[in-house]
Amino acid sequence: MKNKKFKINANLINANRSYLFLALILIIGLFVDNFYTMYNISAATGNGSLVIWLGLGFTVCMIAGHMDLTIMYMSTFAALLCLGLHDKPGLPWAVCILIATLVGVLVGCINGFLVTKLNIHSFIATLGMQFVLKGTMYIYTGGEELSIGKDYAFSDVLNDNLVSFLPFSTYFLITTVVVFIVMIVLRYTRFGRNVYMIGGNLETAWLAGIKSDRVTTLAFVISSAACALGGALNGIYSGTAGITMGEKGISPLMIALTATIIGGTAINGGKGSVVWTWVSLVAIALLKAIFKKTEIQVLVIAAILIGCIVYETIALYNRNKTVGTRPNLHKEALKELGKAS
Amino acid sequence: MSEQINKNPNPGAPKVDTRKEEISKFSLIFNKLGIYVVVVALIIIGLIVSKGTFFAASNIQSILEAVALIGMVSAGLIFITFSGNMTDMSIPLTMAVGGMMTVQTINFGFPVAMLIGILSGVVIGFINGFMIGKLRANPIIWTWGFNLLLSGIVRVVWEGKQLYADKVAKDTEFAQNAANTFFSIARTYIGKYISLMAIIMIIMMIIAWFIHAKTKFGQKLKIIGTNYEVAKFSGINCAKTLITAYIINGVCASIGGIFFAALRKTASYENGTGYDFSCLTAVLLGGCLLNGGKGSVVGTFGGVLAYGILNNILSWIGLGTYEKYLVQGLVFLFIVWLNTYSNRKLGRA
Amino acid sequence: MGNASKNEAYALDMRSVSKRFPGTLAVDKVDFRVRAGEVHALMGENGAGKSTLMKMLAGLFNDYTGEIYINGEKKDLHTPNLAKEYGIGMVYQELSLARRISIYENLLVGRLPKKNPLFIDKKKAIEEAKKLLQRVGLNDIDPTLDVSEISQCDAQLVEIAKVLGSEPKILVMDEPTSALSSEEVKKLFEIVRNLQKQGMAIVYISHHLSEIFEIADMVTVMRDGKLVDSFPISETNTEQLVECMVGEPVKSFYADHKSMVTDEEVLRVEDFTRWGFYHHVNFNLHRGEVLAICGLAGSGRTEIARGLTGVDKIDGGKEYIHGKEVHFRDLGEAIKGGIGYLTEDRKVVGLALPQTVADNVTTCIIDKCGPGIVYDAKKQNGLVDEKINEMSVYPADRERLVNSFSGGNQQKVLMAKWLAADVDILILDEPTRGVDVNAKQVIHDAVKRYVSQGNACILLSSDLPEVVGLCDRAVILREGHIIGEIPKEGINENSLLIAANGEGEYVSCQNK
Repeated sequence: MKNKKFKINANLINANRSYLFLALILIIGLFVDNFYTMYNISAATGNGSLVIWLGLGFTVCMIAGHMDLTIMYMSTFAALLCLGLHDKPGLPWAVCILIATLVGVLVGCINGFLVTKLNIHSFIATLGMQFVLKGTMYIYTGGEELSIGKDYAFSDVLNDNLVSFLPFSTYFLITTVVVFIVMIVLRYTRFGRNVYMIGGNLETAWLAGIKSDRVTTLAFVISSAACALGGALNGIYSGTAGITMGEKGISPLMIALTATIIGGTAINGGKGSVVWTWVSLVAIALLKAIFKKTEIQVLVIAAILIGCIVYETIALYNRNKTVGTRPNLHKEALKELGKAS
Repeated sequence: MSEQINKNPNPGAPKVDTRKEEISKFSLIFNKLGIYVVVVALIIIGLIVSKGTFFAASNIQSILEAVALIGMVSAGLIFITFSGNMTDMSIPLTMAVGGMMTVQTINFGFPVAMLIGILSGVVIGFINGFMIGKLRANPIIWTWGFNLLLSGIVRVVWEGKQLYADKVAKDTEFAQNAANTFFSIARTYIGKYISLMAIIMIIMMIIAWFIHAKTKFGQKLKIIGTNYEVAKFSGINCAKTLITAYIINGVCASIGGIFFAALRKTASYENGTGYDFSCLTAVLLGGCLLNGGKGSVVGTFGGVLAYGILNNILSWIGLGTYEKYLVQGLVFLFIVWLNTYSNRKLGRA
Repeated sequence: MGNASKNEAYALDMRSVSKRFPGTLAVDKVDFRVRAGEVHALMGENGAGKSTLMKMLAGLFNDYTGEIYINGEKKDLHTPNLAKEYGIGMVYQELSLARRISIYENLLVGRLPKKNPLFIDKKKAIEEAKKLLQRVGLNDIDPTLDVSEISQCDAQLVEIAKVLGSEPKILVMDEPTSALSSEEVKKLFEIVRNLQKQGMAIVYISHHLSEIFEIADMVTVMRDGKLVDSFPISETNTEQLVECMVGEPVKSFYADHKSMVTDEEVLRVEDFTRWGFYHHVNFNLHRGEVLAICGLAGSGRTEIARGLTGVDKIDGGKEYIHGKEVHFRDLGEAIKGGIGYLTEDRKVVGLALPQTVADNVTTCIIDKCGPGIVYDAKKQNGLVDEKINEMSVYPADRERLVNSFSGGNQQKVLMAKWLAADVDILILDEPTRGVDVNAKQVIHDAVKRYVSQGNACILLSSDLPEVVGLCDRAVILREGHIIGEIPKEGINENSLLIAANGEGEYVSCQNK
C-alpha cells in the first residue's frame, strides 16, 4: 500500500516537472540579490527568447517523432538575412522578416522531403542540413558580423516593455504569443492532433487515413519557420547577428533539447506540449540570470538533462519487464502475494 | 504508401527472394571497397586542380595530419555505427577530456599522463556502454546529453580555461621533458612526409581491423548490429559486448584527443568540436550502414582518406572553412541517402 | 432489418477470392458469405488463411483476385480507407492503438469532430468517446486518460470501440479475446449480441471452441487456404468441428516414430512461477523424449520457454538439469548449461537475415570458434557445412545471405543454428510455422535424429498434426497453469484441441 502511494506522487511530480523546475528557480531567486528587478527579469526573458523559438521548433518535431537539428543555424541565418536585407537594398522590416520566414518554410520543406521521401533518419538528415545552412550563410555574409546601421526604432520597440508595469519586453511577449498560438494549433486542430498521432503510432495514423508524409513535412515547416521568425526578430532585438551566434557558451540547440526533455515531451514522440517546453525555457533563462558563470550554467543544465534521461530510461527498462501480463493471472498473483505477506 | 501495404502480408508466408541479384548489382557502385575508386578519382581531380603539385611534401603532410585525427577517432566510431547505435555524440568531449587529463597529469611523465588520458576514455566509454547496452537508453539522446554533462564538468573543473602543457608542468627537468615529448608526438616525422600521427593512425586502424574482422567480439557485434533481438536470443551477452564497443570507441577518441591537444599545444573543452560529424561522414563514406551490421574497417580507412582528400581539394579550389561546410553537408546528405537506399534494398528500412 | 429473407443480398459476399504470396497461395478461390445480423465464426488452424482473408477484406492488399460484393454491390477493396468507406471495421489481433495518446483521440482518430473550420470540438469528442466506451461497457473510464494508463484488457475493449466508432456494417474480430479475462469475455459477448441485434454482420475468428459455440450462428472452416465447409452452428458439435478443421488424418506423413524415451530425467521444473505469466508450473523431461506443451494463444507457453532459458527473470520455483539445480541469468548461460531455445519468429528474433548462413549458424557458438579472443571463421566451415547438409539447406552455400533463401530454407538454417549449438535439451517454439511440406519433413526428421542421439526436446506448436506426429507426451497449459497431461497413446488432434480448451478426460487439475 505504501508503495502505491509513493508511485502516484512520483507520477504527479513527473507530469509537472517543468512547473516544479520553474518554481524552484523562482524560489532560489528570492535568495539572490537584485534578482526580482524589472530590468533583470526583462533582460533575462528577452535574451532567453531566441531559445524559446528553438525549443518550440524542436518540441513540435519531437512530438511528431523526429528531431530537427537545423533550428539553431536556421535562426542565425534568418537573423543575418533580415539584417542584411534591411541594410543593403533597404527593404522595410516587415518584408525582411517575411522573406526570412519564407526561407525557413523552404528549409522545413527540404527537411521534410529528406525525412519522408528519401527515408533518411531525421537526426542524420538535419545533421547534414545544419552544415548546408552554415555554409550557405557564410557565402551570404562573407563571414562578417552584421548590425543595424542607424534604424534602431523597431529594435527599441522590441526591447521596450509593452506593458510598463510588467517586466517583459515586447520581443518576449511576441514569442510567448506565438508559443501559445502553436499550442492551440497542436491542441485544438485536427492537424495538431494528427501530429501527435503520427508520433504516437505511425501505423495507426496510416490505417486511419492520415496523410502522414504531409503532416510530418508540415511539422518540420512549423519548426523551421518559427525558428526563422524568431531568429529574424532576435537579430533586430539584439541589433547584431553573426555566424557564430549559436556557438558561444552553451549551444542553444542543447538548451532546446534539454527544455524539451525536462518539459516531458516523449523522446519517441506522441506526447508533449510546447507550453511545457516554454515553461522550462523561461526557467532556464532565469537560471542563467542566477548563475552568471557559463561553466556553472552548463553543469546545472546538463545535470538536469541527464537526470531526466536516466529517469526515463530506467522507467522504460522497468516497464518493459512487465509487458504482456495476463489479467486473470495478475489478479491471482496479487491474491497469493497478499496471502504470503 | 505502397511499401506500407507490402509490409503487412502474413509474415509466415514463404517467400522467394530476388533481392540477392539487386544487391549484387547495387554493390558494384557502393560496396565496401568502392570507396577506393572514389579515392583514386579524388586524387586525379586533386592533381588537376592543384596543377600537379598535389603530391608536394607540404600538401601530403597537411592531408595526412588532417586525416590522422579523423582516422584515429573513426577507428573507434565504426564499432558504434556497426553495432546499430548510429553515432556517438559524446566524441567531442571524450576527445577534449582525453587531452585535458593528459596535460593535467603531465608531471607524472608523458607515458603515465597518456595512460591517464586513455583511461578517461575508458571510463566515458563504460558509462555510455552501460546506459545504452544495459539499460537501452536512446543512443543519440543519451550520448548527446552526456556530452553536455562532460562539457559542464570540464568547464567547472578547469574554469573554462585552456591548458598549456609547458605551463602545467613543474619547473623540473623531468616535467619539462615530458611536456616537450607531449608536444613533439604530433610533430615527429619519419622519413620526409610521414608523420608519427599518421603511422599511429594506421596502427590503430590495423588493430581495429583485427578486432572487427578477426575476433569473437567483432562477430558478436555484427549480430547485435544486424538485429539486437536475434543476438539476445542466441545467447550473446549484448550488454557486455556493447560496453566493450563503447570502451573501444572511448579509447580511440581519447587517443585522438591527446594528439589533437599535442598538435594545438593547448587542451580545452572545445578541442573535439566537429569531430562527431566529420568522423560519422568518414565512417558512412566507408560503406558502414547507419542501421548497423554492415561495414568494414578497410572501407572506413578509405572513407577517411576520401574525406581528407576532398577537404584538401576544396582548399585548392579556394574555399574557406565555412564554404567547405556547404560542400561537406551536401556530400554527407548524399552519402546518407545512398546508405538509406542500400539499406532498403537489403529489406531492412 | 435482422430478419433476412432468402432473396435478400448478403451483407458480405466474397466470390472465389484468391491471394498469392510469393511461393504460396495463401487464399485459394474462397467463397465466403455473411448475412446481416449474423455472427459468423471463421475457423481453421494456424496458417489456414483466415487472417489473410480478413486482411484482404480490410483493404491491406491491392493485388487479390476474385470479386467482393458488399450489400449486393461490387466493390474494390484496395486501401484501408476504401474498406472503411464501404463499412468494414476490423479489430486487429495486435493492438493498433497509440499508447501515449489519450483514449478519446485514439477512438476518433482521423475524424475528430470540428467546432468550426479551424478547431476541433474537444467536448463533443469526449462525449462521443464516452458513448463509444459505453457501447463496449466501459462506463467508468475517463476518455482523457492515455491508453498506456489503462489495463491491457480495457485497451482491447477500447480497440473494439474504436472500430465501432466508424459505424461499420461488417465487423471483423480477429482473436479479440486473447488479452481478456473471463469476465471481460462475457462483457464482450454481450456487446457482440447487441451489435447483432442492430443488424451488423460480424465475422469472428477464434481458436477457442467454447467461445464459438457460445456466440456464433454460422461457422465456416478453412484449411490450407481453401474453404472446407460452412454450416449453422446448431447442426454441429465439438467433435465434428474439430474433425472438419483437422481434416484427413495425415498419418502417412509422419512415418512411424519409434519412441526413444528412457527413464533418465534430464530436466525437472518445480513450482516454476513468473507472476502474471505462469504460476506453479511442474513438469519433467526424459532423455530421448519429445514433450509438447500445448495451449491456446496466450496460455503462456512462450513465456515458460523464456523463463527456462534465462531470458526472463523468474519469480519463484526451481529448475533442475541432470539433477542439478540451475539458475540462468541469460540465454548464453543456458546454452552453456545445455539448454537451447529455437525462437518463434525467425524474422524478428530468429535469424540475422542480411548476414550469411555461416554467420547465422555459428551465432550461438561464437565463443567456441577459435582460440582466445580470435574468431576463426574458416575453422567452423566444416561444422557449418555439416549442419546445413544435415538440414539439406538449398542452395547449400554457406556464404549466401540468409534473406535470399526461401522461408522454408531459412527455417532450416535456424534449425541448423541450434543443432550446431550442441545443447542436449532444445526448446522448439513453432519450428515449422509457415514453411512448405518439404521443409517441414526435413525439420521433423532432424528433431527425431536429435532425440535419438540421447537428447530431449520440448515442442511448443500450434500445428496439431505436428504435435501428434512427433510427441511422446503432452502437457496441457491453460491460462498459465498446467491442467493436465496426455500420454503418447492418448495424443490425437481431437484430444489435444479439446484438452487445450479445458475440457475432456485428460484435464485433471482444479483450474476449470
